[in-house]
Amino acid sequence: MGRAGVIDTAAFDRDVRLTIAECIRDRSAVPSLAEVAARVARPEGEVADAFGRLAAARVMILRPGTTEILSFNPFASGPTAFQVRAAGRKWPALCAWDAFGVAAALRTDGVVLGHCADVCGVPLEIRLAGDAIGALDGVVMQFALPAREWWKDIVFT
Amino acid sequence: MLLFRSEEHAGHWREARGFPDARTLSLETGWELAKAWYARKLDPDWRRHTVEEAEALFAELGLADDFWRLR
Repeated sequence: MGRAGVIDTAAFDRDVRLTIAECIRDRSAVPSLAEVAARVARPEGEVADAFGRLAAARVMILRPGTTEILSFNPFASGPTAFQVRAAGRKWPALCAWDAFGVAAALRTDGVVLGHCADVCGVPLEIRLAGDAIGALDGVVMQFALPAREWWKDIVFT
Repeated sequence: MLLFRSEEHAGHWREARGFPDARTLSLETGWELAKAWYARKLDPDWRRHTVEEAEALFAELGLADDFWRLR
């Protein structure tokens, strides 16, 4: 907070970002707007504005039409199509890359649980351990859109 | 970014959903990409990759054609 109650938005946004990260580490869950506001001891409206700026800066994704976090990538608010078991907890993720990213961000081994996206829908389990990967032979990850189009519809991506 | 049982299943999905230019990655490359992209996300000094950094990161993993360009 600066003079006469004027917010230093860059500093405040950093505080909000670090608070979100802290919540994720503490509870393995993406926090609500209300939880972040309580932790930073600021009105929800100010935190919602910060959420909007962080989303505009592509730090995270908001649920469409809301001021709640859908994903502080790679950490999503559930339920999602991908789950990760890591650090003794379960973590939802929006996509395969993010599911791998959960273990990467936690700097730990993990097990990614998902399904083949083709009509077979077969369950897939991928074990990430250091540089080693354990999975059925032939399993692949697929990116539908070129990189420059990812953020045109990041929820679809 | 989705998972598929095999390249064949990924190809079937591409055709059925109308994404002929979709790209598959091995799980090994996907894991390296995830580590390079997300390893610092919870760190206090994290910042987004610049476009140049992101393209360089892709290129280091052999992802250097037009599909992986950001501009």
